Amino acid sequence: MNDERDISPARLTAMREALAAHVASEPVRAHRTRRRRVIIGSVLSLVAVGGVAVAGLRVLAPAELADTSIAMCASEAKRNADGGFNGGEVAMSGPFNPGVRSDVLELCTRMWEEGTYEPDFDPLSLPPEEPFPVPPLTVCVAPNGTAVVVPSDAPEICTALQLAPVAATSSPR
Amino acid sequence: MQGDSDAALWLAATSGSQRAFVEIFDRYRQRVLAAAFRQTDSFDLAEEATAVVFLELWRLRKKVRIVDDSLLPWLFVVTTNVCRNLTRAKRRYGAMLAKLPPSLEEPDVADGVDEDISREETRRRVRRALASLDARDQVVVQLVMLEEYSVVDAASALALPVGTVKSRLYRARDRLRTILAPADIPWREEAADER
Repeated sequence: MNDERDISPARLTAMREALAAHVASEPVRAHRTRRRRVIIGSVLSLVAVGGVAVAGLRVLAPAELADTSIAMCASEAKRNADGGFNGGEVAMSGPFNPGVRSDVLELCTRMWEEGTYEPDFDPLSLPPEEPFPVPPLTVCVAPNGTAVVVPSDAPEICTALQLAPVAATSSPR
Repeated sequence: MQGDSDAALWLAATSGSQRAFVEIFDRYRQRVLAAAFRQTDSFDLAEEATAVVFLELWRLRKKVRIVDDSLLPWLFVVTTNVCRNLTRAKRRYGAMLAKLPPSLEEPDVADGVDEDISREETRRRVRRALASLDARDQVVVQLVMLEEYSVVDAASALALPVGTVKSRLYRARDRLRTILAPADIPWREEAADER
C-alpha cells in the first residue's frame, strides 16, 4: 500500500463526525468532574474556614513555573466555588522541545483574539478577520506549579486569587 | 486553519475546537493509515487502527509531545502501540467503531498484477519480522528506519535518552538481519547510522 491510499469517502465522513462528537463530549465529563469538585471543595471549605479565620488571608511568596506542559487561560479574574477557574486549559509541548514551546501569555492572548470567551463563540466557525480585543493579562502560579493567566493588570491579582506571583527569576514560558 | 502549524492547531483543538481536531486528522490520517497497514497487513484493521489512534490522541492529550513542530512522531508511536494492542483498543472504542461504514478492502489498483504476489509475500515477511521484535524496539524501528526520523527526534517523541534509542535501534537491526534476507529489508540500513 502506498501513502496516497485513503479511507473510503463514506467511512471518512463517519470518522470525522465521530471524532468531532468525541471531542465535543468532553465538556459533559468536565461538568460531572466539576460537580464532584464542588462537593469535595465545599466539605474542605468548612474545614478550612476555622484556619483562615485565625490566620487571615495568606500571602503567597513568588514562585517558579515548575510545570510548563499545561496552563489555564482564565476567562475571569475570579475563582469558582470549587476553587477552579472558568476558561480553557491549554496543553503545551513538554520540556523536550524548548524550541517550539510557546509563551503562555502568547497562547492565552491567541485564545482571546479568536473570541474563545465570547458568549456566542462557535468553535467550528472560521477565525475572525479582525481579532477580538484582548484584556491585560497577568501570569500567576498555581500550587502545582502550572501557570494561570488571568485577565487583569492589578498588581495584587495573584495574591487576591490565592495564587503565587511569578518569581522574577522565572520566565513565563 | 489549513496552513496553521501543528502547535497552533493542537492549541485550538485542546481549547475545544472540533474543527481543529478534524483538521489534524485530515492532515495525518494517510500517514497513520500507511503505518498501520504495514503493521496489520489488513486494510480494514489499518482503518480501524487509524480511527483509534486519533481517539487515543484526544484521550492522552495532556501527554502529547510535539516534536520539531510536528505531531506526527507522537502519532507514529501511538500507531505502533495501538496496532500491537488492537483488540484491547477496539474494546475501548467498540461502540464508535461499530457505527463506521464497512471498509471496501479494495485491491491496490496501482500495483501490477504480476508484482502483487511477490510484493505481498515480502510485506508479510517484513511484518512478521517486525512483530517478532521486542515492543520497545518495534516503535524505534518504526520511527527511525521506516519513517526516517532522526534518532534525536525519536528520542524526543519517546521521552528517552538518545543513547537508549540508539542501543534499541542497533539491537533491532541485528535481529532483523538474522531474520530477513537483504533484498527484503525495506529500508537503507546505513541511513540509521547517518541519523
